[in-house]
Amino acid sequence: MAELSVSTKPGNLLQTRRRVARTLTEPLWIRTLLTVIVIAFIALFLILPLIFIFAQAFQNGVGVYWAAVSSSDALSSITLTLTVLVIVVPINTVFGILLAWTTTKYRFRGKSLVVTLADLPFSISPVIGGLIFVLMFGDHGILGPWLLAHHIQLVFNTIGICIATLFVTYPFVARELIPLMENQGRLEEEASLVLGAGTLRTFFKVTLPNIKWGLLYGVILCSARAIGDFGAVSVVSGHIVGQTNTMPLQVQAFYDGYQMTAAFALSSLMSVVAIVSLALKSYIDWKSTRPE
Amino acid sequence: MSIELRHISKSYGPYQILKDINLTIQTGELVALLGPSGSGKTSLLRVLAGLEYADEGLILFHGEDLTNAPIKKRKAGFVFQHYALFDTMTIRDNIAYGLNVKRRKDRPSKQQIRERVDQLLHLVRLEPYGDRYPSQLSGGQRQRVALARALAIQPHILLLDEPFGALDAKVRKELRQWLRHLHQQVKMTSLLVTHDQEEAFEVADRVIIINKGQIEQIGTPSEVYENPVNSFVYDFIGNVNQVRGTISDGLFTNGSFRVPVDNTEQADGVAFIRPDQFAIRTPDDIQEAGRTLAATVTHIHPSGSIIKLELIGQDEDQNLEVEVTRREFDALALSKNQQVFLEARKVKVFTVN
Ligand SMILES: Nc1ncnc2c1ncn2[C@@H]1O[C@H](COP(=O)(O)OP(=O)(O)OP(=O)(O)O)[C@@H](O)[C@H]1O
Ligand SMILES: [Mg+2]
Repeated sequence: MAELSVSTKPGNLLQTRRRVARTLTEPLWIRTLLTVIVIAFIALFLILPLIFIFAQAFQNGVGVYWAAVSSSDALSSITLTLTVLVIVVPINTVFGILLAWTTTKYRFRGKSLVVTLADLPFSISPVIGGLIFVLMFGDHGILGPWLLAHHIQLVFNTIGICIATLFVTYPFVARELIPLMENQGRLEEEASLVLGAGTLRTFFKVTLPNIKWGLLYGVILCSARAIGDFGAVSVVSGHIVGQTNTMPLQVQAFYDGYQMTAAFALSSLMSVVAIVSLALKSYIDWKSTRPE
Repeated sequence: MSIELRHISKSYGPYQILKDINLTIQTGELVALLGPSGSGKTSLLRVLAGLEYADEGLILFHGEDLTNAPIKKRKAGFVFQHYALFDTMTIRDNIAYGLNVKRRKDRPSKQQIRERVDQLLHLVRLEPYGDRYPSQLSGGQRQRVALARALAIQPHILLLDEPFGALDAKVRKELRQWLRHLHQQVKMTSLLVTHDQEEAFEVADRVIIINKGQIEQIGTPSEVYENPVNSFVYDFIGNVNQVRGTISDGLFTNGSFRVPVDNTEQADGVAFIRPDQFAIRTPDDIQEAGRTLAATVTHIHPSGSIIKLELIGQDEDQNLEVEVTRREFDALALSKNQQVFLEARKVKVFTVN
């Protein structure tokens, strides 16, 4: 919940921080100690490993790094991950908007149950999520024989990976939007309807501009997770090198094959994606708290 | 464009919030819908605008049945209780919104829209603010933008939901007079919701009193003020003194205070007397002893030309309020703790059930 409120109203974080600073009255040495512990923790567990990844990746020079990331296995994993990204993120963006819209702008029975269920992928291990799909669509799964008879293959290929990624990433957009839209209520939409606009136009002209920063933020989180997910994808992919290995899976494959430089080179690419999305997130936080 | 409602009812689950509403608003009339909080004023307006559907009844705009018509067809201008301006658009874009979303064949040209927005900005006296955002305006200015936005589509009827509710007394008064003036210019059929009786009486041609989803009385301000039909209306539309007593044999009695009533049944009753309907007498010039209450002055509020007196009756818990003109006050030379007799000029008695 804390994460939620911070992410939807980034301005609150600053205000809270300022208020905390004023109300903290512990002696200076305690405050210093606590700050040092926090910084040391972040340095040790976040920044140091990041530096280490890049150091290892470039250990043998830029030439070797380049060779590693442009090897056919690495390239095929990058292509697959990008394919999944391009398929999954738009679907989940649309679905997330739809979910947030229906649960905040309409009244219906079982609404809170729907909202709770939408959080399921957060509370369930991605591995289990992946397993569910194998058990349903795999050759020995519930729908397996029927799918086999109709020559439909839904696991151990790109489609399967997309389905699993859809499952683990679908709540991100809705989770950003629901509190935002709940807060805004339906007044502006009603005003738009009364002024003669239709539902679609109301959405694009009134609702969307109001939620655009939250939406963008949700899309970034969704993308980051779609690129980085290991658990669910690992189960449905089948680990076919050059075919069904996404970037995280390929990192694992390189690592298992003692190709350390390649493993770290690919990891560094994923780290760059993470850093860029963090930067984007900060930009959005800053942008959305500024007055018009 | 006239509006007619016939037998409109609406419930939310087990709660009936509109009960058999019947009313007609003539073309060009400005009618105030007056009632306490939660009485169903907003709900009635929403049903009219098409934001909500009635469970039963008919809605006719100029004789045309629009009961189940979509929002768009009703062409109603709606000014919301809390403005509901589009925060991400400038004031100009807010006002132009209803024109910009028209279908291409009905949409005025860009030039025409700009001119129309200019006119409206002029009308609501906000010319310098066109390029600002709603968050950069004061409450009263936002309210005027909301009005301009509603007027831009040249609605057939104008629905105003407590348009001045969130503003301070002075701004309210200004906007109220301004609205009255505007209505005289535009002559649009309008329904104004308010819970402020002063506002309703000052602005409206006719007043509708609503309570618990039911219409209690419809009439011109003076009709409603002079002849409230029941104790609710009496109580609601002005501060009024209530004297409790019993009714028997066609007579309302509280001690020596006796007023004849039409009702011959035995019942408890309340006599309503407005503060300006008391004459203050000294013991020697009482004219009708049966209409007189003995009381002691507890407070004197000299506020302008009218002096407000607070008094306490013979029953210790009987608080009374009386208004006298400054001239009367000076002639009587009243002072605090003085014992006086209040003779009621006009009394209205209702039975209590
Ligand atoms: N969506 C809803 N669901 C259930 N009950 C509602 C809903 N909207 C309004 N009500 C109820 O209907 C009644 C009338 O509400 P309404 O908003 O019309 O009152 P109002 O006269 O406008 O009050 P106010 O002066 O406070 O604005 C209230 O008792 C309210 O609780
Ligand atoms: Mg209301």
